Amino acid sequence: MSEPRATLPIERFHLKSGWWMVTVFVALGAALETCHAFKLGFYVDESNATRRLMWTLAHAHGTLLGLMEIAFAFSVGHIQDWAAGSRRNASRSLAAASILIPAGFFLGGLFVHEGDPGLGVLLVPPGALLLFLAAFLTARAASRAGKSTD
Amino acid sequence: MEALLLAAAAAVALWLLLAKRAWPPALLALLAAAGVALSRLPVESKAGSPSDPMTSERPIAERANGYVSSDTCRACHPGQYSTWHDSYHRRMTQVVTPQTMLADWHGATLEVRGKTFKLTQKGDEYWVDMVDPGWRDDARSAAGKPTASKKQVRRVKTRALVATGSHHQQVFWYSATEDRKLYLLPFTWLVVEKRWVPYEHTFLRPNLATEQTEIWNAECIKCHSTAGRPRRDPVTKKLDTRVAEFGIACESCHGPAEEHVRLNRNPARRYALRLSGDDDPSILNPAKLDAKKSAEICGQCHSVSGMKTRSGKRDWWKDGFPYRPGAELRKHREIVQRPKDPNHPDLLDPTRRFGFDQIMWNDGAIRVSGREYTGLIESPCFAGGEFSCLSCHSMHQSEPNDQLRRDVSEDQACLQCHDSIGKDLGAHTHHGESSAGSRCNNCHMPHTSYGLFKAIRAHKIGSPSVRESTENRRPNACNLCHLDKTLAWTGEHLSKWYGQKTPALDPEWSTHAAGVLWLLRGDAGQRALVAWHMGWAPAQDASGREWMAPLLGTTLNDPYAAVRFIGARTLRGLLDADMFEYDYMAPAAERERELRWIAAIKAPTVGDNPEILFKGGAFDMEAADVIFSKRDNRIVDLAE
Repeated sequence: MSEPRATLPIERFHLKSGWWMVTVFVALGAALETCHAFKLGFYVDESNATRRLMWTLAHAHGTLLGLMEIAFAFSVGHIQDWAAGSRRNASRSLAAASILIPAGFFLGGLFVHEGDPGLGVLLVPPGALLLFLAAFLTARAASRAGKSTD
Repeated sequence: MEALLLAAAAAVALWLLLAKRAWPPALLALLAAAGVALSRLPVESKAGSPSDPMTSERPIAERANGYVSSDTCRACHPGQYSTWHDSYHRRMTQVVTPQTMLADWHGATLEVRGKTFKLTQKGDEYWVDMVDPGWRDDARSAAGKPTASKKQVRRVKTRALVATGSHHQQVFWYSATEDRKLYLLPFTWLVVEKRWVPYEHTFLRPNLATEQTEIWNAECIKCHSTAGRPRRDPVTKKLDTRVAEFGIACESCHGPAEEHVRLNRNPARRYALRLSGDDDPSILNPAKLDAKKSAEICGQCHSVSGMKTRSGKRDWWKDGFPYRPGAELRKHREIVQRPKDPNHPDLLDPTRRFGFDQIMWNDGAIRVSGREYTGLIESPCFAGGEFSCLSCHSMHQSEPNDQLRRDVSEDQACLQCHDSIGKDLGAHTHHGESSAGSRCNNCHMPHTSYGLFKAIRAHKIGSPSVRESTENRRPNACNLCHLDKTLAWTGEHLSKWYGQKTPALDPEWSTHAAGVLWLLRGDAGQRALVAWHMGWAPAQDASGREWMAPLLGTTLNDPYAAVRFIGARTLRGLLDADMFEYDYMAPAAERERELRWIAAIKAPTVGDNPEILFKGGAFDMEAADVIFSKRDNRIVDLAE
């Protein structure tokens, strides 16, 4: 029977942050459902359609990014020979994206101007780029994993 | 394009299945395909699709001349779109569909002037079986007399294509010609009462000798659509009518928005404007215009106006009105106002004078609904330069009914300028501060206009006086609430409270309540106003209700259908509804029967009160007949 592999700090970080994100954004989803249930004007009125869209996007992206963090934590242990620098970059990019994207959507919905979200939404494009980078680095590492033993 | 993208996706999938390590290039290929697909999506949809099966028969809505339609506005202004969508302005004209149809169309047979109209619904279509509108001309001899017998009457089946109104009434328009001309079905659906009545009996107008032919493209298009263009061919006179939108939509008030939409596709421009706090010069906001120009936007429809020149009229038939919000309304339109000088040629010319007498009181205040701008510009408040329609009304922050600003209470609208009065309201009004007599609009904007079977507030803002009722014939605010008091009584109070001089009065103004005199011997418009006020809660509180029914009974056989309608409606509120089965369209003999028993209703608590014609708790018919014999039988025609 082999010894269980020691978990890396990076795995623990993403596992922890992933589950916390799922917790937070599932709670946000419940809060949004409550706004629907009680037909709260600041959320359901036609004039607040942009806020509703932004917060729905914050909830959906936050939850999915939480799941991605968990998936990343598991991936780190399964991708062999992942260069430390690349792994660090992927980890930091994903962590930053996990903050920027949901926060951008949420803040964008906090202060809306008719059909346009608030300036907070400007956090989303850099977040998206970082997410893309994290996904690309992970995909590339996964593609190369075990290549030397093939 | 769709097929090409489908083939590309299938090829990529196949490649993935067959090739090794093909993911990166496959992913790139998919992204490229998605990019191409997105770039080919239309930026905006087009209205007035030619695939609409009815568009050959009616005017069509199209995006042209810089107009883009409210659907486009919705994307960026969902809140404003929503409040406009809830408004009755939007529904002033709608294409007939099961969603817009309010009337009962199921097998109704209607009759007017000996002609029957059979209504049937087939699926989503609403059909009318009627006498061919062109038949009358065919069947007349050169002398103009009918030559055809009843059997020869030619009937046609046509569809109701467009509806006007949705709040109180709805009327329908059908096509009977090869062009896009729409004719009025001569019946009106009363929304609250849920019944059909002849169209001509929904206005306050005498029994007309001849049938009126109403054409939507010639009249209603002016104000019941956005940027309507009749597009009449100068030679053939055929119409190819277009509108930017049916109903009164965003661009009626904000102007054509094509350039605004184009510029604001750029998010940097939007955020730069937002951060700078500057107004967007590419669109007009009536709330940010000066009061005069802002009011003119409403005045383009809510006024008595006409084309300035004959060429202007010709141009209108071709391309519609040239006025756009923000421009000078009077450059394009003549706004009709009653001359102040009684010797003005327009007032001395009987043909012109008749028009003024019909639509205006002698002080220039408007008598008909929907022309509030004409009243507003006669007001001292408007002359101050800061007062406009938007001081009290809002298109977007209001309830659809009356569209009064939600953020300003009814008194606050006045007190925002007249703040010193608000500090001690009772001292100014001489009424309890919380009573109806202390509400600014009840005294300064009494209900002296008529429309839609009701009295509507005057928009010529002024102070009540005896003179306005004697010289100008306009019932004054005091006596429209205190219906049981004489004009002399009003004069005494106005003299005591405000130092007004009371003019010399005919003796009857001192012996009989002004409300009674207007109801019994006033013209049809005055009778309608008093009949409505007898059902108005503040008037009932101030004057008592017990004595009103017998007097209102006199309206039940009024020659004007609208007066009968209002009188009966007020009576229903005063009496047990089950006791009262009166129909204002019933034959005169039936109406007379109802009148008799209502006139005999006793009011023991009233006792003797000659001012309201009561003797021993009973209505004094003999005294009423004396007043009735002096009735003002001038022709009144208050048709919107």
